[in-house]
Amino acid sequence: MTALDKEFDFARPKTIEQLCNLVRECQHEDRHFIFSAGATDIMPHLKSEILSPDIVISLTALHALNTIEKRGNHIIIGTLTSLSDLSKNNHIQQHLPALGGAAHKVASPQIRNRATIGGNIMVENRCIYINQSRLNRQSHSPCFKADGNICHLVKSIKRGDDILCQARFVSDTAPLLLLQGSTLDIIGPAGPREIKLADLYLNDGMESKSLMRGEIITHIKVKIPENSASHYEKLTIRNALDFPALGVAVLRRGNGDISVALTGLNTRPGVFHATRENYETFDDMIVDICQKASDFTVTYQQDFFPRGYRKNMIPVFIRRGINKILEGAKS
Amino acid sequence: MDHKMTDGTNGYPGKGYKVIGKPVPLIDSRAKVMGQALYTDDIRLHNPLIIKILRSPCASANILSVDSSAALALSGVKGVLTGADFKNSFGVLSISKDEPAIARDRVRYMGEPVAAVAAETSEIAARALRLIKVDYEITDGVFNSKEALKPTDQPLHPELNKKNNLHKEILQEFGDLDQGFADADVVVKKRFRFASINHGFTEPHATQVSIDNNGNITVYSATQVPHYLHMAMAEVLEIPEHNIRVIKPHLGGGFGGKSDPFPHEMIAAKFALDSGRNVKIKFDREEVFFSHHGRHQTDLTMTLGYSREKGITAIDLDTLIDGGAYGSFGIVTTYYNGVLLQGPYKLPNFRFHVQRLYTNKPMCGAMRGHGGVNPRFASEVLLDMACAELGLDPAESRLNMIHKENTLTTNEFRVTSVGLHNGLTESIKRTRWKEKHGKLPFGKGIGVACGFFISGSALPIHWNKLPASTVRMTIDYDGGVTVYSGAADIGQGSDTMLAQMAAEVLGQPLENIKIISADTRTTPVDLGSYSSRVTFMAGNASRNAAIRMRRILIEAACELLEMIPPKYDRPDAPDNFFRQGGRKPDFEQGFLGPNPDYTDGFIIEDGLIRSKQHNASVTYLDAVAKALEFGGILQTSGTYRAPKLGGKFKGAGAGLSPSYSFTAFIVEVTVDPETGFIKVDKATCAHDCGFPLNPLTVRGQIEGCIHMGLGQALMEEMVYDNGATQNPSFLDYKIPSAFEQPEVDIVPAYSDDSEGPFGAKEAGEGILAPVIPAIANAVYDAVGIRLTQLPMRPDRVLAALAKAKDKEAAK
Amino acid sequence: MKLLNLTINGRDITKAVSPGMTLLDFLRDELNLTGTKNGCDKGACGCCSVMIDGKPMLSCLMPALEAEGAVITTIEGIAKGNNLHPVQEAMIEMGAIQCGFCTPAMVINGVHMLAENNNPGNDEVKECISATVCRCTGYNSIEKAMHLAASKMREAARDGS
Repeated sequence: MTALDKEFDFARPKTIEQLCNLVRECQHEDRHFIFSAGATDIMPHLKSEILSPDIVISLTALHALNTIEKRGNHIIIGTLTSLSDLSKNNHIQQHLPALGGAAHKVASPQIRNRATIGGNIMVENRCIYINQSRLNRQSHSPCFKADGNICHLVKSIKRGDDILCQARFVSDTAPLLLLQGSTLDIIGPAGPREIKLADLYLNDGMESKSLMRGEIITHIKVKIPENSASHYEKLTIRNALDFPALGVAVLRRGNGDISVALTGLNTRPGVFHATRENYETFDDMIVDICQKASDFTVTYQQDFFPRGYRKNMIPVFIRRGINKILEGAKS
Repeated sequence: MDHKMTDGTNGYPGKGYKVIGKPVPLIDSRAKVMGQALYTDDIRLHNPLIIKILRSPCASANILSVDSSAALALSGVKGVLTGADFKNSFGVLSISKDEPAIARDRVRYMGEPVAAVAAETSEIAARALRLIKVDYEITDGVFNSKEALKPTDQPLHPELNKKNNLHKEILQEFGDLDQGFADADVVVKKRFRFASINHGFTEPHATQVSIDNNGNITVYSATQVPHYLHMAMAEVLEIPEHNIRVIKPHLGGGFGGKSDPFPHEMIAAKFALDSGRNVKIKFDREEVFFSHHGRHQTDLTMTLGYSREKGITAIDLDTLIDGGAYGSFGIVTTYYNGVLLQGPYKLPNFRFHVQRLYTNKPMCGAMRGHGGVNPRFASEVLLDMACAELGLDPAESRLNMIHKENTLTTNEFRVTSVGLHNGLTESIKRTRWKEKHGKLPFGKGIGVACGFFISGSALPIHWNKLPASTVRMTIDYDGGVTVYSGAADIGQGSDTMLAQMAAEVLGQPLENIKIISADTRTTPVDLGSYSSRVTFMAGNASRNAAIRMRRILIEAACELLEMIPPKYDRPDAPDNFFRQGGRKPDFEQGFLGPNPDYTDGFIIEDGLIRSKQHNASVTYLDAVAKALEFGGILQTSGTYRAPKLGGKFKGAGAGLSPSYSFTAFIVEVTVDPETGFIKVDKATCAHDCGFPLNPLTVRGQIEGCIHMGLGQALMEEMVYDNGATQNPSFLDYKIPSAFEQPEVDIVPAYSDDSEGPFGAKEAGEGILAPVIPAIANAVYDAVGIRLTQLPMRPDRVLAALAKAKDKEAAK
Repeated sequence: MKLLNLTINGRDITKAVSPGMTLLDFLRDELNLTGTKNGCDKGACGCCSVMIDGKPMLSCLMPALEAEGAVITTIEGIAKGNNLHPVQEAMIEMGAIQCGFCTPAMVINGVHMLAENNNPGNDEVKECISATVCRCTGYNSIEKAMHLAASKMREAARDGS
């Protein structure tokens, strides 16, 4: 049931050092820990007992990570920045307006006041069979993500296959960040490292992120785009609350190149590029990138909209994104 | 946007009333807006046990064993109940008491209670649930109506002695169907399919029970029907009814979803009786969806004949409704699927065949617009098709077919007041329909549909001779008026309506009227808030109690003024009063007559009672004091019971109502042909609720019905996977947001019902049904496709567009 | 159990709570502030909205311990004694209250929106209430109430200056 009936511990370290010590302790004592930031996604997982940790480590006291700075030609976003703060931030509005717009499309105003950008790029992949109450999950035989032996979406998957779980990637902010070539600062018990955002995402709904146990992302580094414009378009049946049934980010560079990133369709985001000089006309390029993007696998999962419809909407949304960008360039 | 308050009367004539017909905020608004209103789960009983229910993960299974020993052994657990603890099944209808409080021997739907725990804390109760071992033997389930029709040796309800899973079958025919179709200029036929939908009230079910030293229990429950709960509980628990007191606290929405007695209510009361402790239970949102009781999934085929001269000549309807595991209101739903098509238009020839099936899914029951919503969609879409085929204007064609006032329908419904003709005429003007219909650019459309609904069921669910509603009224020495009514204010504002009745008749400001309602110990019986009965029935009862009270006050005033009190005759029916089959409707003794007059030559206002004739007055308080001299208390009762109505054939009682409401909708939409998205831009509604007692709440009901109709039209659907509810959350069950709600224009559709309190009829349900076909018809006007499946999802729109294109290409 | 310090409706509170307790349950069960409602417990109905450090957030999605040091206003803290906030007044006046279960959250959302901008556009108003489920009103009257409250607040601001 939804009350947090299982007892777990709770800690809220104030510094990265405290955090790393705590993680080491947990690892040493073999305690199952999870991190939480805004907790808006973690809480439903805890209430549905999809996650049953021994300890929840809250990152919200790491106030140093609640900042957005401009450093040279980069915007450095602290991962604890709330999505509503991100949308309203001057640097973001000036240099990355489409990212602010995408953040503004997440969930609801009340959730955006709490949810963080770090949490959004790390948001757990979702599936109609796993993101359910315990009783609902019991009504089917347990799937791979629930330590079982079946995927209810693709029944042919067997243990030992490369991909066991088809749970969907649903971050609204990741597509644009991917197109901007963002990098991540990561810290963990083993020390700091830096990776490309693109390398964060794995092709498996169960282990969908490449962070190692105990690591957290501290900052997202985004290069300030020069002479380019972007747009994020989201498919939901209502204009509130929902995860994207399809999300399309489009970026157009000054040289005419187009990049597209997709979310909501597959275990990980899809990214596609088209170089202007490879095509005779602009339209040829659009047709081609729409084609490539449309070939992107859409998992057998209905998020209100059936699979075929979501697939068909990919080119429609790409064209809409491009039109929005072109309109913006005119005005 | 216009933010200024108008006089709020929406253009209705005021009739000189002081309180009636004025926009009055609900009398409990202030408590609600300050967070002080107590809903069931907000009540704090002393040291309650917390109850949790173990629910079945299987949709269809035999229960081989339930072992609760480990749970009982857990410290803090005070009791475990299983199916064996409840001998008697129950159900809201006395003719289908088929639901156990806890499953015995077998489970019929996923989420059905199989055991319950009462413990000192919620955490202990949750832990105890895990310790209960239930051994299930999975059996083949039945998951849709067609399967349920097939012969089987193991139906869900063997006690019915049927060879399949049919619950109820009704076939009725009126007039001459063949002749009707022969008379038609065009006959249109289509299959329609409707998803099951949920009420989506915001307050989850909750119940608390307190118990005294003598074993009397007080049940606080989020229920629309305290009286039915009271009766069902006594039967299930096998204790006298007077040992049970049911109180409905503030209620966070019902829409029909809290109008059945529920298993958790029985479980809570049983735990209280067994343990001698106060107890408490509250549902998670998932549990609300598992309990469901929403609108039936429906497959129907309808044939409609239409003639230029005569309007609709015939309707033939064949329907399967998927009832889920138990009966609930299903038998009524089965009838309503047919009989509610008797309005708003003349329908001379008519047949319906409705079958309700049992399946291994959560049960369906009553939901706003009960039973009438889905067939209404079909008939209004087919009517639109017929008009299109004949090149007729669908709005004007409808005008010509509306029932005249004071007529009988083919199945002998007595239609009294009808304000639809004026309302639709005005809507056509206000929307500039003629400039728009068929003339808007591709993607933009306008559509019309009308509706019809009962103002309360004339017949009670449990047959007895008691009035349908009784109100007790007292005035204390301080002059304060208290209205005691069993009617359940579920947010629709019935308490306010009852107060308005008393205030108007007794010449008191609204603040002087206090309401005590929905408490079976202190308030007289009212059957509850369902079938849009409360305004008409409890309203009349309150008005009648107030009129009796007024007479007492006037007599006391006359004594003080040394005048001869007025003589009251039981008034004759007004001239336009409708006589069914040549006979006057038979009103029982005790009823003051249809809309009894209280213009007695006195005016009560500003604390004075004044004789108009003698220009002499006494204070209201002096009159109250005088009236109290004799008996020490000042008390009256008022009742309502429907007149004897209806034909003499079997099933004639279904859909009988003392009056009917009528609705017209004109809806404007934008359809995106690339994405298939339908955006409803504007809805214009003319709803004939008789005389609107409170334009503010009528408006609220209209806007709320548009919201709910829009949801069913565009996005709401219960999704099942082999009986498992796949979207039991407000994230996955899509309820429209403020962004999807259109601008609403409300057009007066005035009528003055001769039997309604101050001329009023229902405004809570009938409005919903025409919203949905109006949208579908507007979509046709916009892009030329006929959608026959709800919800009208974007993918279905695109599929229909593609099909239309193929058809065009094939030509 | 861990100690939690916070300020709720102007009152400093210190209480031991278990890590599994949500802020919503803390308000309702520990402090008896039952004006904040539990409609879905999963962040999808919006009925549990409270003001945390000046911003509306969903108390069902927040461990109580996350509110350490926070300044919280619940619906019980919106009116000043018997003087209602303009949003509350307007909600009553426009008939924006039916069953009332979403009303506390709607008020919290509106109070915040109008504190930031007392002249909101239609879309801003819609967005403010878009993720709080009201099943009764169809939202029209709530939107009107927000606009009415905004005009009341603008008037008050003019009169005050």
